Amino acid sequence: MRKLLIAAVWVLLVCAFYAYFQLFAILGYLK
Amino acid sequence: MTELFFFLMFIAAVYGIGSFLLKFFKLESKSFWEEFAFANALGLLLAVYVTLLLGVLGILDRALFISMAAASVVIFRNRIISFAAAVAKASKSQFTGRFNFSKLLLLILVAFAILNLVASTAPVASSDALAYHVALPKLYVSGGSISFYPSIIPSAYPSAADMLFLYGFILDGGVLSGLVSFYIVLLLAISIYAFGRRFFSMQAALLASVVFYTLPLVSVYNTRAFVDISTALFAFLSFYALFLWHSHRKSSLLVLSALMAGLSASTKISGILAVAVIALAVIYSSLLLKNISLRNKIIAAVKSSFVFSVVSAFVVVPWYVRSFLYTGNPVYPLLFSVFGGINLHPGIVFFWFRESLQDVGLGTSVFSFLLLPWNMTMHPSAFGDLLGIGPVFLAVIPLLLLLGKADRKIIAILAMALLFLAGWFITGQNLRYVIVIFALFAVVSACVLSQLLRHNALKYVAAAVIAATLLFNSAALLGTNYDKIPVALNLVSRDSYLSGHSPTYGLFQFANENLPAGSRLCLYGESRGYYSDNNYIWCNPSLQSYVDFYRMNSSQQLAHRLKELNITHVVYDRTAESDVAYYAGRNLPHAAGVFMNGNRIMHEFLSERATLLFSNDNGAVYRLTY
Repeated sequence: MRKLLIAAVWVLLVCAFYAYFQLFAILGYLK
Repeated sequence: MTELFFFLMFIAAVYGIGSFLLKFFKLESKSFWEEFAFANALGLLLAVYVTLLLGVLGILDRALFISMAAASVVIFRNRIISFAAAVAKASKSQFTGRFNFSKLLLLILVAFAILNLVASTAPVASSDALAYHVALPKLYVSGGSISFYPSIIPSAYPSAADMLFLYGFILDGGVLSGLVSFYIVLLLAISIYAFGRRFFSMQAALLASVVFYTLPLVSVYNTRAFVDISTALFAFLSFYALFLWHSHRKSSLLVLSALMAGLSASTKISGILAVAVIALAVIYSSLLLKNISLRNKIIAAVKSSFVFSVVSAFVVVPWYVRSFLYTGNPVYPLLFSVFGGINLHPGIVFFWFRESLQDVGLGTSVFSFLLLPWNMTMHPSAFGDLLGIGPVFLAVIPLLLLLGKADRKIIAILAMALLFLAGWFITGQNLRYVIVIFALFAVVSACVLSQLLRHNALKYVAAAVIAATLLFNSAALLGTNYDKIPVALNLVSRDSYLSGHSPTYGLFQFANENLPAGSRLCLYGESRGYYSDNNYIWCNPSLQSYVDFYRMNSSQQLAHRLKELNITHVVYDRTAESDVAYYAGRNLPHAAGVFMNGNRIMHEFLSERATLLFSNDNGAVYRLTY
């Protein structure tokens, strides 16, 4: 269970940060 | 549709002859995809050097190139038919029976490949392809031979991949060059699959192939006719053959690995990294030999690395000799302070290899190196690429730590990736320069995901990562190709597509239709000359010093030089004006300075000695009178 929690939190963090940074990068590019 | 016919002919010919050559390497493959990957690589190796030889001899004759391809297809038809039958049989079994995860992955791979294939049939429009990867093949064909174009510095580069684009161009024009690029990416995906299948599992193999092939960066370069994917393909196959050699110790496999490393180095100067990294791995592998003394291990390491280096050198040295004969510098325009080189001002060299390389990446400190995995994922535009590699590697590879003791093969792959990464980090931090790392990471990620999928609780995390990755990557694929697919399907006109992608396309159209035969153009503010049917030279102040704006300070000097070079017209791209601010804004003072000087001189020159023939929002065409 501990492993699941760690893995889930890590993956969520990476995907969320990636989506956040990419959104701004692409918006900046389109501007 | 003719391009698809010639494309299939090219693939069949390359595979046919390559499959014949492969039998000398005693690969003894049980997987037809493994055989396919190495056979194609050997076929491509042969195609590169035959094209180079015929080109240097001035025999770039279309009928001859078609005949060679046709002859290979006819002579090796049995091999080609056997392979096609094996693929058909495997496909039949894949597309019948219950739908499962593997079939879903295969379906995704096929869907991506079809979209990329369609997009690859759009007209050539990417910057470097228009400037030299496909523009030079066009110049070679129109000039009848492969030669040095003094204003186009890349014409002295190692150009193995450009030879393949040249073969494609001779068969059926620039679109076929683009299709050759598509084929090379597909070949890398197939090689990753074959590697995964050989050393891990079917599921890991498919996942690795899908992870790699759907990467946003790969979607971008799938259809661009750049050379970086070729560099990665041959580096990966060199690594693959090294793994096989490590298991079987057959010297033919070491030779195969060396040929591939040499070919990787023949596509790009920075491809020499593959030779260096894999030579180190050869030494390390020899030192791991069991049941022999340390002295004998060292002797084995020296022997193996010697064989590896000599064979690699045999492949790559012709390019250095060619460059030396053209320019006096075997690695032109690199190492200018050691070898010098014709038509090269130190300012250009400084701009290319200091200023512009320092402009990409996020520093070269130890701290920057440690932060690379995060920064490469989150800030790809700092590494020269808007879409980058997606979140999959950073999300998945660290999960290895949760899975207990890692497989030694995985550790070896990661160590190899780390060596490539270190070499890339200290040379030029552009993501596309080192795509082989992402091929290696794809294998590791797939192995981790495959293990997670077998875990009771963690399988949900793996499924979520795969779904999120494919979602991001599909959006990137559509974003990358949204404009190529309509023009490829004739829903948008070729002219309107190219006018949007190549600002000077309209100027070249005017020049092609209206300038007299024998006109010779100076391209100012523009280097993408592919769509010019007239002879031309590059005149961009920051890209060449054949017309040396570093040393000039008056319009008379420019007039003298252009007259000396028999230039009759100037194609002027207005971005030359904004380039000064652009370079200054990116803290590239050398480039900004030479552009400012160039613009002043060019404007003076045009006002004194030129007649405006045509003008639009993007630029103008002038006739010169001396």
